[in-house]
Amino acid sequence: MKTYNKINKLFILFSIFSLASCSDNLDVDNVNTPTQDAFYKSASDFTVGLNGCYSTLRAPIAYEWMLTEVRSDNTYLNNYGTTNPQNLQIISNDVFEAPSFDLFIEQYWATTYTSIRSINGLTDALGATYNQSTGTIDYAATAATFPLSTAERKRIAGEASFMRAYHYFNLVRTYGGVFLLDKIVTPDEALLLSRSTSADIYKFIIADLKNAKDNCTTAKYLATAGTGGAATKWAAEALLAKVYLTLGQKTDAIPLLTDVISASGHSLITAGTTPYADVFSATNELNAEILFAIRFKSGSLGYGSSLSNLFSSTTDQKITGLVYPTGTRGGYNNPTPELYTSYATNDTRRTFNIKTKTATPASSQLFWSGKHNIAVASLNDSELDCPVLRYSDVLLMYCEAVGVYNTTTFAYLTQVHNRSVPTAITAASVSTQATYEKAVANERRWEFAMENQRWFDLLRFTTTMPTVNAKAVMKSHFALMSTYYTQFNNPYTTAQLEAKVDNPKFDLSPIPNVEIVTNTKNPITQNTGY
Amino acid sequence: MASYRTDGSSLFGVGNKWGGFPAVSAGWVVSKENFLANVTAINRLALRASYGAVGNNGIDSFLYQSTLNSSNYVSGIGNGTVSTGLANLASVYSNKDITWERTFSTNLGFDLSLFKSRLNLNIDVFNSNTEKLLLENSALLITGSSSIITNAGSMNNRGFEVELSTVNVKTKDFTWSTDFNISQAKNKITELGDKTSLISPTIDGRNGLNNYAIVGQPLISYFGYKTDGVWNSTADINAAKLNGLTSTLTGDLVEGGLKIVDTNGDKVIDTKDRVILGNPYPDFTWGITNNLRYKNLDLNFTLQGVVGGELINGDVNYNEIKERVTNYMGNRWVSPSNPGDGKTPYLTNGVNPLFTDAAVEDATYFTLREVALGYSFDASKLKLSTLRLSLTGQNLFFVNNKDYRGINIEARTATSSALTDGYQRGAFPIQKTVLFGVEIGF
Repeated sequence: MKTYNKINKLFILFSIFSLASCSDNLDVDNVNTPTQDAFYKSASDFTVGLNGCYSTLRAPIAYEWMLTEVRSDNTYLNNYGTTNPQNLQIISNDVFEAPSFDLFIEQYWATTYTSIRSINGLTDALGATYNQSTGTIDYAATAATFPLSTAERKRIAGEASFMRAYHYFNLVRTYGGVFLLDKIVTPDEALLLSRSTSADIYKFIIADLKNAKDNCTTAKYLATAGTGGAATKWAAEALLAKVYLTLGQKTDAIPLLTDVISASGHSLITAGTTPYADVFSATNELNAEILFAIRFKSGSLGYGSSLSNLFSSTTDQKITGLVYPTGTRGGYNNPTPELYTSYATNDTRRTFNIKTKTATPASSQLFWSGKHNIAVASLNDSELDCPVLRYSDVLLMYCEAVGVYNTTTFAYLTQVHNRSVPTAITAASVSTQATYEKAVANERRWEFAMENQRWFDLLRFTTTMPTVNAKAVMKSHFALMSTYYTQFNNPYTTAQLEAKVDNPKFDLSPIPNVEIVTNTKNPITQNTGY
Repeated sequence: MASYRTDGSSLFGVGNKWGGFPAVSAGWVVSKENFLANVTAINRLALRASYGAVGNNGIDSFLYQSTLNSSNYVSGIGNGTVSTGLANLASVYSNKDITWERTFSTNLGFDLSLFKSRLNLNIDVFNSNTEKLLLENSALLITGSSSIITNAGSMNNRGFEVELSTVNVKTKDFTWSTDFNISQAKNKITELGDKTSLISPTIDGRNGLNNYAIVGQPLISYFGYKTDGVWNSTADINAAKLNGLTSTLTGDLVEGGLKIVDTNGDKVIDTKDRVILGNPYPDFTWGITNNLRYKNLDLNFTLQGVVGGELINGDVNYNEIKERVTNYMGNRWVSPSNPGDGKTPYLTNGVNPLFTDAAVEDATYFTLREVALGYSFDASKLKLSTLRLSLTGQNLFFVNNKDYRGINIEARTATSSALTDGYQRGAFPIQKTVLFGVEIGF
């Protein structure tokens, strides 16, 4: 029996302690990688940053073929009828039905903008800014401590401008008026941006290319010294000429092309028994014909190209001339039978570009890309550079810019044609406007097959060489290909295929769906038809 | 008892490294009070209460700085040589403002033990508020990154846990005891700064499949198109079109394809028609364990279950799986005169790759998680310390709700973001195991 009064045994114990250590211990800077904001200090930092920008040009290449070659009449999927999601994706791109969440459409966009971010970081550090009202790249006054000479500063800015223009030219032709970013934007800032007009994007591209033309190296091409793969005045002029052609400004393109032809030191490879193949040889990189290439390197460094693996046959089909790189192979980007038959049978470019497995009936014949095809020791580790601008491109752009048959254009056309085909072009066969335009268009198709040119060429020809109409070409392509598209279950009929060219989706790829759904603050306008 | 601690973390930038975490707790053992001293049936009766803050800094290093990555290029004639380069390749955009996420929890507890501990009951109720949630939010790709880490908002968690253990029979030869537990945890986003919703990174590389975090909803909401069976015939579609229905979605409005509901009633099927389709959080989880012993023979078994919650079954959108598993395709639409169950679309028709409720399945299940039968011999006669035979089975009995078509309802694809939970594809099946064991101790 307890007699004590109740004593509440509710105990509350206080013990206050705090752990506070020296704050400095936690200010850890990442010793492995510098930060974007504090990186550019010494002259060598700018070279390292510039190299980094060049390196980011590689990533989009793994996706570009889908949006250019597959979309065009050059390549398709020779495994039509499959239900494998990746294959269905190729078919949908081939017939202008790719949805806005297509992985290639998204990743091409994403990798391109990742590259643009680094380029903008570099131009920002250089104090080179885009002036939208004047359409020029302006150089801000620098502090006395700025580590670069004026000439070095402008050269690096010129090369950065070249890369940025290359990206925006690809973006505007693929997606239309995109987001114009001339500096790094944060995710919060990005949500407030709207798409620019195509005209404003082209103005930006031209400003960048003029800056590149004026400030990149003017050194002539030399096999022994070369330009090391950096963007040159000649590459900038050639790209600017292509931009002008795309805008229909032929007369602005001609002097640029003339300058490259007469003063750059670049030339066609004509020596040897296989000059065309030599242009793309791994032992002949940065040859006289290459104005600009995106450079890859094998050796398991992480800088190899995936194209050899992506395009070679998935299984060893014992095909003459096709090599089977180590590792998974995609079997994608198959040249169309229609491209194959469009070549003259004695055209050495056909032999190099297209590897075939003959079969009966002809509709079961299979084709693979010989371009980008090389043995590799490990997966996605091809040595082959990806050419962006070649001298033959400059010659044929000149033919396109002048737009009519004359002795100079005929000479340039002949130069490209006769290098690869034993039967020379006759003047009579290209003397009318229609035959001339068809000859130039075809020569470009044969010369640049699987170099991601054809789709943009077709769109441009509608402006520059109106007798070659992109929609008419694609309609005829579908008609020629109908047996290949209709031989399986659930097929497209020829009429359905031909109708695809009148779909508004023909003109542009969609803005990636993820962008549309992410921006709920300032809704992004999607392209027509999507 | 009360405490206060401050923690610093190098994962955050200058000015944001330190977080303060106070805590206070109190308990009252009522059964020790005089007024209960004579109540012999009560062994223990206690009340507990606590309030405190804990921090979370579970993110990757250096997300507060925009670091540059090694990005070398090739320069020089011929094949060239590697020259050092750096570029900003970060897929998660840096955010210098990120700091500790803090959770302030209130817990109330009740402990009761009766009849010489033959019956024990513990009840815990909790209510917590988390502020400055560390979440990976999707960023526009034009920034160069696909997401950004943010202290995005606040969240409330509340729920309870009940544990009841009883000794049902206790004699010399036979004992039987039972443990039962049931718990519920509900969470709700209370604010997201100036936003009303966040979008998770893309799940499993499937474009268009993103979870949403929406104010007033649980942390994760599945967000996609609601469907109402399958378009049976072109005549049905034409009738709907005559009525004004159009669609901006690729492959929509085909016979044998999913019929997407025009949820906003504007007669246009587009991204605005997406709605919340579920969440990964169960209503309850429960478990019962029984331990029985008769002389040297013992038997234990555990039943476990989850009630409510949904999962996203990614296999529904993969032809390789669908082609081979009748669960997905057995009752599919084949033709207007052979429409199947009216819910399953034809293999390649319709809006197959979009995220619709056709991929959302109820995650309710229960299982006989473990059953163990053992016999212990009188080992001393054999000059051993122990000799025991046992037979154990796991997952011998597993009941999924009838919605579920996959092979492992518990599987979730591991992801890095807190917002991408609830998704499964190509999981390893649930394993049934039977083990026979002999235990000999010397």
